[in-house]
Amino acid sequence: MKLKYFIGILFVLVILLSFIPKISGNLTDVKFYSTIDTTKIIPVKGVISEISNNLYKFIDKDGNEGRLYASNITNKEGIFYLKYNEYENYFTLKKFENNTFFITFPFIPGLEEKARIILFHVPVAWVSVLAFLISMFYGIRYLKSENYEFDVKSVNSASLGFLFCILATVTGSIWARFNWGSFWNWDPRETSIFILLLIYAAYFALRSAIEVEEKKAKLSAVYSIIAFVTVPFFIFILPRITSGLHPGSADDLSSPGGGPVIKSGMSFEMRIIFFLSLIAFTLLYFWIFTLKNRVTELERKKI
Amino acid sequence: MIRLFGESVQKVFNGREVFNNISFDIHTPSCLGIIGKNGSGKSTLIKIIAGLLQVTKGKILYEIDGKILSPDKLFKRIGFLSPYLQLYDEFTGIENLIIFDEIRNQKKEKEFYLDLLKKVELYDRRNDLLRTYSSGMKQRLKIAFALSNEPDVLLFDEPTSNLDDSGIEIIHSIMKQHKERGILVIASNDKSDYYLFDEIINLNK
Amino acid sequence: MIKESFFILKKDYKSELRNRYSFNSLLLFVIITITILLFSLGLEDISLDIHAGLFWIIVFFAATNGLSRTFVSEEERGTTLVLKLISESGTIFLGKLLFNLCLMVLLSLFVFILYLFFMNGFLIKNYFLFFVTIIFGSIGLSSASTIIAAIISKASNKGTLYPILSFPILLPLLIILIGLTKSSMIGKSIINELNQFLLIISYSGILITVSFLLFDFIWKD
Repeated sequence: MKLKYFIGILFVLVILLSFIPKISGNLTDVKFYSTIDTTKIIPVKGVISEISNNLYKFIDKDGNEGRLYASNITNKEGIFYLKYNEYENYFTLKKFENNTFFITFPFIPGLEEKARIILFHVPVAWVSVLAFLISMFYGIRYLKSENYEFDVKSVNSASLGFLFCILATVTGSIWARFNWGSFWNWDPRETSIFILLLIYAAYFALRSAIEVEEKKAKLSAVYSIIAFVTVPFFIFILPRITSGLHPGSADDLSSPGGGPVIKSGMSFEMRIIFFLSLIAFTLLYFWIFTLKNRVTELERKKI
Repeated sequence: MIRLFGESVQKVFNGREVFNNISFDIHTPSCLGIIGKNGSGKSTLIKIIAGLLQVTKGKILYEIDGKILSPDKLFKRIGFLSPYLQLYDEFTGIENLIIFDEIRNQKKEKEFYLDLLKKVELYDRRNDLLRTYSSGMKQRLKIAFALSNEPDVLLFDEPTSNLDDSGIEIIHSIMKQHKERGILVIASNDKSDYYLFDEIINLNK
Repeated sequence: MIKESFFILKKDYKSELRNRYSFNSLLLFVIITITILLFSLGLEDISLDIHAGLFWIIVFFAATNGLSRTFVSEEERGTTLVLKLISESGTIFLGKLLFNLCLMVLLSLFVFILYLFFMNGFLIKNYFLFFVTIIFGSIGLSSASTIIAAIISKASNKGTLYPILSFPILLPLLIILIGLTKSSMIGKSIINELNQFLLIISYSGILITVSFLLFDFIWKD
């Protein structure tokens, strides 16, 4: 009973924390990205103090200082959308937003607002892998003991994992559409989630093709172990693909080799919210998993 | 001296219990008979005793001169015969026997196989493909196969099926001979086999 | 156990010689596939990448056709019982693995010969690398395929199930093989690709070991 409410509150918290904070880089980001793309406008959270008419001293959230030319400013604090003039070393204000929340998300070029999806997409993908591991774990326990309950848990975990895997693929695909222009690119990470989807699908296809319960349980357990054993090879192959065979390997300059989660693309606050989201989804998985197990047990006892 | 010992054997298949609480204990020279209606589980039980199926509960042990025989090595010491046993159609009678012994790593001189085929009266057809055999001849080849590794234990499921009178005579003499050296397990509905039984398991509920 | 598994290989080989179960259908499959490809491509030139990919696609699907037969034919004809009476489960697995390996090598070579004759633009600069790739590729493909073949032989609907089960598992291997084939076409030396072969060896080694340990669960009823 309590767990249900806890999970609900956690999710509400995660959703709020994902959407309320605004994106903010710092002045160094503005300088750096202006040299790459002169039309880029980058939001920076900071404080201004007036020096003279339309000229302000700007201090960003990380403590960097700079000169800002702007007219019609009413607030001293908030999110300032800035451009950088390299020749004369000053910033210009293009847009202003109020910011009432103490947390901001870092500016990740190419992602900006879409960065929020990291907080959903990645945890869901991780949980689907976790579910697969748990399914395999119960498969092994079944092989050792021939206790049918373990097989039940194995299937239930697999169906949940499949669901999460579909969610991960869909959210990833939406993200890909907004970021790189098309829904699917055969980028290595996309390919690996697709392979996981295929393994799940094969697992269920195999189960439906066997009628005898003992055989069904044994063979699907064996298959899940064999499939799992080949997964690490993808981790070794992925780097190889990025070096030339296929187009569209999307690791960009700021986070090569790991992506924003593993490398330092996320700020401390964002990381906390990320882990909250991860915990929320993991708890959700365990809650549904326990419920499913209970329901299947009751159904079996009836028969 | 061989002992076959079974304790509280249960088999559940696809949710349905086939039999439960089956126990037996025989040693040389003995014959265990398994009787019961069609569908009572005779074939299932004899397959379990032969190590071809696994029990759901209970245990079955073989002891040879006091030492327990490991289930992995069981196949080298038993001969199994049953109506649903299929040999290879694309090989000749004698090829089947020789290839099986090669795989079992128990290959003997060619004379051994010729004598064996003579014993089951298949010598003349030894070089014909199994495909061309009648069901009675296939049964006789299966008998030869069951004897080909000079087993301590013979397990026969419906031994007289498909056999004509001379075939029945052959197999009965084989069974009687074998009983003196080893043990027999026979699953049968044919009452003329019953005289061999020393201990009986009746699977009729 | 190893000696006995060679006799299982011998039995399967003799059987195949008389029955031509797998052999004929594999041959036909490859010929038909290449013919279809020829017609659809016409005189167009295709890149080396595509050649490499096509080659292994044909091999993979032909293998799908043929490799499952080792277990499926035994199951369908009812001869699995005899096998259980004359050998341990490990022996059977090894014997079937060896048979699949030989079949894979022959199949790859056959696809290679037909492909070379009929497809224009298929030029190999480093033959040594190419043939070593075929050997290693056959080892890898057969190691995964044998255990999958064993699994589906116990299920119904065996035909469609086999590619579904084997594709995710074989994909890492196929990607490596396609890469190696392309390298052999552009003339790279085998020394550059040593770590790829190491990957194939570890892939095959792990699969064979795990399959060998798990085979008992599939084989015993």
